[in-house]
This record gives sequence, structure tokens and C-alpha cells, in this order.
Amino acid sequence: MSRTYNVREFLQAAGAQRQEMTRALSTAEHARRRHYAERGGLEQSAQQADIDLGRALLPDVSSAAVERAVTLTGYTPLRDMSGTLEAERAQLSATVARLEADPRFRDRELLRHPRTGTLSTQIAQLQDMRATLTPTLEACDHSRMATLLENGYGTPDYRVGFWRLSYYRDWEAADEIVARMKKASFAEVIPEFTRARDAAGELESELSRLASEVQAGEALEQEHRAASEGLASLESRYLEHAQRLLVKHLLEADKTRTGALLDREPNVRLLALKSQATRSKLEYLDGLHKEKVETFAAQTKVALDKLDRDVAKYQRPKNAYAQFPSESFERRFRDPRERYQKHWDRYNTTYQTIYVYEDYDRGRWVSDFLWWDAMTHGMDGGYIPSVHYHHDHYGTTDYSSGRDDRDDDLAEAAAATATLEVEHSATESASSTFDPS
Amino acid sequence: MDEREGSRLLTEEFVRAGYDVQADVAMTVGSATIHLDGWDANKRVGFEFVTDEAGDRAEFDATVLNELEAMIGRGECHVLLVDEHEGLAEPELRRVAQRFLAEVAKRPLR
Repeated sequence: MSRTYNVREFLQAAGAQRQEMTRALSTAEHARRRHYAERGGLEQSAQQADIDLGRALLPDVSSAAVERAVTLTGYTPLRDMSGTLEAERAQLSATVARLEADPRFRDRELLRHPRTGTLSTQIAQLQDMRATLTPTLEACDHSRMATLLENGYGTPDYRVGFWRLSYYRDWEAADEIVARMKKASFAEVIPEFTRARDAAGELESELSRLASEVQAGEALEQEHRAASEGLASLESRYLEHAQRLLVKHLLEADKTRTGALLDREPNVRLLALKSQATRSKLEYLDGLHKEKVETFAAQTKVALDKLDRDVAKYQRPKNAYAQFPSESFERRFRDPRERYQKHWDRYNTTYQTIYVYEDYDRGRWVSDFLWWDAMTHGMDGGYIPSVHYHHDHYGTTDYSSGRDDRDDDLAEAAAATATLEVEHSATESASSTFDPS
Repeated sequence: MDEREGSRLLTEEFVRAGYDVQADVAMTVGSATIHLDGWDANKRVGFEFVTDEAGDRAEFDATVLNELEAMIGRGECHVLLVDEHEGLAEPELRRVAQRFLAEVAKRPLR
């Protein structure tokens, strides 16, 4: 009769397994953080590789440089750049010339210099004049002032009956204004206020006109500045834009055709390979991380939740005497450490192999070349869509064949991973998704 | 301020000034009869606190107000007209009443 396990043994084994799962999740979290830190650096490298390639393809916008770039890449629309550039130069030059002939721009210092400009001076004078009116206007600034003037308060025309509330409100408001103006009656206030009000209105209107004039002049200055800057940066802007287009074209166009063109300049081809390889590294490391860290962590969490549910179940009094057949018990609680260790070993080795790869001269600018195979010597990468597609269509190629004297990447990478915080020792290629449960 | 509170304050001020104020007194204005919130029949001085709540706007329509103002203009009576919509608070209402009564004192009736 085979042995069975009791609940106490079940709980003890579950506790041990839980500890290992938690440790594995912690390792996954560490790997996640490390990946995002390292991919930041790789992204910068990829951008720099593109810039270097663009500069090598097109160092300047001269006709000779453009023709060379077209010859190297087959990107004929580049020839149109010169015409577009000259059209923009002509347009910007015309704008600058028009503005410089405009008196509002040409005489900008004369008109708008903060201290000596004629417009500035006029504005200052009008503001001074307006300031002399301010005391009167402020003293008469009362919510009932307009009503008082409209009703003719303080004049024989005032007709509001003393039996109405507004009569007393007018009275109080007028008394307040008279006191502020230090006058004897509201009748004395009226002419002084109306003169100040009318003069202020005229001054405001003139100030508004002058401000519009200043604003229009400043807008012309801004337009001139923008056009001048556009002219100054014209060639560099076109150059950078053209370089980006060339790189994009080269990376996306049919390699059978561009490969033959690039053969004319091996140095440029090497830069193109580096650019392509660096982008591929990013793609591969993202795919590897997703499969071996994110998916692993998600599966481990599911298994952990199930374990916790089972523990809760067998802690109930009604299950206190449950028995577990030895075969399923031992299968479930087999020590997972070795499996975890292998998983992380494989992950770290593959990651480092790709991350440290710099033998860009081993690449080939052809359609059936896959950086994954060159970097990993044909490891399984079916979980990365582009690798899966390539292997489906072209099969797997070990580019290290016959070149053993140069190829020790895997060994180097394995040594490098030994320094990582994640402890591991063995290497083993795996073809199936790791099942943490 | 509602009609009751406004009328109470005005009554206080009128009484303090020596008026014998009766509430809700009927008065003929032209062909209409109106009811004043406060009225001293002997001195022919009173007040009306016009509110929506009391339905005063129907009674004190434009025709009645014009006629009442004409009577005041002819020196036949003195009536302080206060509209609740004018947003009075107690201190101002008291001050208005005092000033009105001071004006009345300067304007004897015929």
C-alpha cells in the first residue's frame, strides 16, 4: 500500500513552495527593473547609430553629396530636396526683404525704443496726462454716479420725488462724492467730473491706438526674427531631415537592391549594419523580457494564488483529516529551485549574449540575414514575432560556423552573467515556455 | 426683508416721530381704493412697503402710483413708497424713514 500525506505535511510543503515562488517573483521584479534601465541606454545607442549613419550617408547638402547618397541608397526623392530647399530660401528671403522695407520694422528703434522711441514717448506723455485726471475719476468712482448724472442730481432738472427710496439713495451717494471731491455741492462736482471723464476717454482712445501700433510693429519684428532664424537654420534643417529619411529608407527598403549599392562603401555599410543591429537588440531584449520575465511572473502569481487558496481550504477543521496520495503530492511539491535556477540562467545568458554583442561586421545586408541568429548562434527565439517569421521562411542559420576563432560570445556572456545579482550556474537552451507551477 | 418686518420698522420710526399710525388703511386714489401699510389719518402721512408677497403690485399699478404722486405733489398727503426689490437692510430703511419725515416736516400739507 502506497504512502499518503496528511494535512500537516501538506501545509508544511506548501509553505516551503510559497517561499520559493515569492523568491522567484522577487527575482523577476529585479530582472524587470534591470531591463528597463538597460534598454534606456540601448535606445540612446540606437538613436546615435542612426545619426552616425545619416551623417555618413549625407555629410552636407551639396549636389555632389546628394548624388553620392542617392547612389548609395537608391533614394531618388532626395534629388528633389535641393529644389524644395531653394524654394523655402527664396520665400524666407522675400519675407525678410519685405519686412526690412516696411517703415514699421525699419524704423523700429526710432519708433519703439523704450526710452527714446517716438511711440514710446507719446505713450508716456499721454499716460502722465491721464494720471493727472486719476484723482478726480477715482473720487467720483461710485456705483450711483451715472444715475446721479442721468437724473440731473444737483440741478433744477432733478425730478425724483422725496417719497421714493431712490431720492435718499441719490442723496447719500452725492454726499459721499462731494466729500471725496472736497466740494461744497454736487453741482460743483459735475463740470469737473465731466471734463476729466471726457479727457480721459480721448486719452484712452489715443493710447489704445498707439498700443495697437506698437503691437503691430512688434509682430513684424517677431516675423522677421522667425524668418531670419529659418534662413540661418535652413541647410541644417534640411540636412537632418534628409539624413533621417535616408536612414529610414535604407532600413526599410529591399536589401537585395540596397546591399549592392552599399557595397561601394563598406564603412557606410558597417554603420548601416550597426544601426540595424542596435534596433534588433532592442526588439529581441523586449521580446525576451516579455516572455521570460513578464509571462513567468504572471504564471507564478497564478500558481501562488492557487496555493494560497488550497492552504486556506486545508486549514479548515472539516479538512483536518484529509489525506493526499503520494504521487500527486510529490509531483506538486517537487523542489522548484533547480527549475527556477535553469530558467534564470537561460534568461540571463541569452540577455547578456544579445546585450553585449558588438560584432556588427559579421552582419550581412541581405534579406535572409537575421541578427538573432548571428547574436545567439541559432537559439530558439520563436516567442519573438520577427524571429519566428524569419525562421519559418528562411530556417535557422548559425553564422558562427567555420569561424570559431572569433566566436566566443556565448562563453563571454555566460561569464558576465555570473556577476549579476541573480545567482545562477547552469546553461541550457529551452524551447518551451517555462511553467512555474 | 418681508412686508411684515419692513412695516414694523417703518411703524416704529413713524411712531417715534409722533405719528399715530394705523395698519392696512383704505384710501381712495382717483377711482381706485388702495390699502396702505401705515397711515396717520389726521396728519395724512403714511407709508407703503410694496412686496410681491402681499400682492401690492396689482394694487399699486402705474396709474395708481401716478395719481398718488400727483396727490403728494398737490400737498394732499405724504406717503413714503418703498419697494422690496430695492434691497434695503434695516439701518438704511430706518435712516430713509427719518429723512423722509424730516422732509415732511418741511412741507406742510394744504
